[in-house]
Amino acid sequence: MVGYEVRADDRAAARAAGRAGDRRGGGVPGALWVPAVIAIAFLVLPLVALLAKAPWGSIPEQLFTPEVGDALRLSLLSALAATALCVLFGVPLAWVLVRSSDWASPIFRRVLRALVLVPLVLPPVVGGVALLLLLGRRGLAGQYLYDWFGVSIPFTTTAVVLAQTFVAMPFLVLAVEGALRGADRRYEDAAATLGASRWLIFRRVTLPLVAPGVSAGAVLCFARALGEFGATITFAGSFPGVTQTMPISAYLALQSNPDGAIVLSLLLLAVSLVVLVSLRDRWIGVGT
Amino acid sequence: MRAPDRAGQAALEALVLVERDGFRLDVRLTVPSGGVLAVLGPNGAGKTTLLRALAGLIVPNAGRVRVGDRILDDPAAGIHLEPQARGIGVVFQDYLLFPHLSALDNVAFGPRAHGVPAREARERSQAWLTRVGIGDRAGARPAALSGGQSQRAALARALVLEPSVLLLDEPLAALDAATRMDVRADLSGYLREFGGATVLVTHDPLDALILADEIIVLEAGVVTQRGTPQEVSRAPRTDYVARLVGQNLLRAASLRGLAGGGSALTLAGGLEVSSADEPSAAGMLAPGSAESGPGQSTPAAVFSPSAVFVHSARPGAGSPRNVWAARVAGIEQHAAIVRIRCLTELGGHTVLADVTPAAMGELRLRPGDQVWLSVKAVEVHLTAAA
Repeated sequence: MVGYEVRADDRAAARAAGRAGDRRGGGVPGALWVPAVIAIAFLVLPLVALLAKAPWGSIPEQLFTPEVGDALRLSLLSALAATALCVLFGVPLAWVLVRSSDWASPIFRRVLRALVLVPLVLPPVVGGVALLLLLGRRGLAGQYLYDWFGVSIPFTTTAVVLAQTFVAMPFLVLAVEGALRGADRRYEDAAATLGASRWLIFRRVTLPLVAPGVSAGAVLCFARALGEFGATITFAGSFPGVTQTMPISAYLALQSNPDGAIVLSLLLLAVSLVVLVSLRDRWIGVGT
Repeated sequence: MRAPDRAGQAALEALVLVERDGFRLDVRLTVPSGGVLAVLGPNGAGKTTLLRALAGLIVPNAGRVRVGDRILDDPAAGIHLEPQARGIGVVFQDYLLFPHLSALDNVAFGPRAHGVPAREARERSQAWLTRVGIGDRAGARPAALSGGQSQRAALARALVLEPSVLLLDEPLAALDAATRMDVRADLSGYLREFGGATVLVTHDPLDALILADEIIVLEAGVVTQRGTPQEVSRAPRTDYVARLVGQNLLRAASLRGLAGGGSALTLAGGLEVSSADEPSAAGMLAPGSAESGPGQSTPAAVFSPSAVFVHSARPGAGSPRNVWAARVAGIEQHAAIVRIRCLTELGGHTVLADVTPAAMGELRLRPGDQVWLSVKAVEVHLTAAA
């Protein structure tokens, strides 16, 4: 939390410096304006098209069709479940990543960090194929799950959640890692001199100190899980009501019911904007 | 000023050797129950490292830490008690109050960690907050507390566990000058009531002189002087201490007694300094501890800048006194005093002289001017410098 205040101060200082720069007469060469304007237009115009082409009049009826309702419900539930899994396993992973510097070699940490980042750079379809090869009915682990317990994961809602967890986990780990690095470890020293065990220190001191980082990571995670397409369709398929999430539903609807696709897209856009707004001051760990 | 029972059982006895990244800390200290020891030293001297070692936050490479008859650290025997099990209270620099907890919950954190039921922990914490004078701020988060209030809350958080040893890391450094005076006075009172041993780490000589019964001066990882506040301020052994307590310290090449009483020192460059002290005074002040062995001691003259008179012409003979030719090297205006830094013609020794602004107006001094300095022999004391 201290870290955030410092960051806020930095931003205020940066803003003040920026204003001072404006008074000196800008400083952006004219040649940069053209590509900058093209870039922003390129980012914004597709969304403008989406809004312009939206069948505003028929939105309510589109929104309340059983197909859209199913996709929306499935998407929200699976993304929430994936986020919960990410928090449950990602926070400890971030903790190990940061604190392993006390005892592990730098190589161990570099390798661990690279492994965490893999899903960020991996094409999601590859992630889906990999999950299939691990958990498929004849997969590395999946064959035993099937032979011994009769459990088959692919093409179930569980598969949707796992695919989303796979792609979203790095977002949470990075956000929490950044918060942990910024947290003053002397608070933990203080707690230790007060008699708190390591577990109590983690629960009552460390976790509250990095809570803003955890919630920022969870929001990013949720957004990523909600938009997941490639890994999901590969590993879980697209069975309506079971594995057909909103992005898949929107993609499929484009063939048969373009208006429905637009409405689903608008819905996803709205969720993204909510996420963006809720993150405005907490964009930490990633890129900073 | 308490007179701690130095013969009684020491509450804290420590020999701490820490070697980290080329830095070596080697400190021996003893604090009796009810005693306050100040560790005074410049930044980077190893003060905080010493405190962290005593708190158990770092494991010393060698040495021994004992509280009463409990051994907390004995690396040779493989003994190291974790901070949780030491019964040592710490008030950290910047206080480190948990930002997400109220003042009350900060204080209650320790009792709760020790398994005290919530209700009782809160009652005890409230009593301590009231005792340190911020009972009405119990519900406030640390961010809403002033510097002085945070310091008190941190003190209550450490003392609520009734530790046998209390460690304070720069307890007043984070406060502004006005608050510092009040908080220092109150802190002095709480430390007086506290029955255990206190170790206070500071770079502010005033904290050490006011709060402590005994001072050790730590420079570059080793103790360069130890003594009561009076001893340290009267007879500084190093230039660092001399500067801190505002004294001139001139190391002599030789020391001899004078027939009529008193002694004469000869400094590098042939500068003569006479003192009313007998030569034995230079040896007497050196404690026979390891840090101040005879091989490391040099006889030296100590006198206050306010005892130095500045003349623009050579003064005539008077009472027995030192008269030195010098050049003005620098002039600083302090509140009600002008401090003149002079270099003696013989040997180029630095001598500080304090004059009143009125006298300064008459002297009309500028850097580079030739002056005469005089100091009465009775104002010059002998010491054993490191």
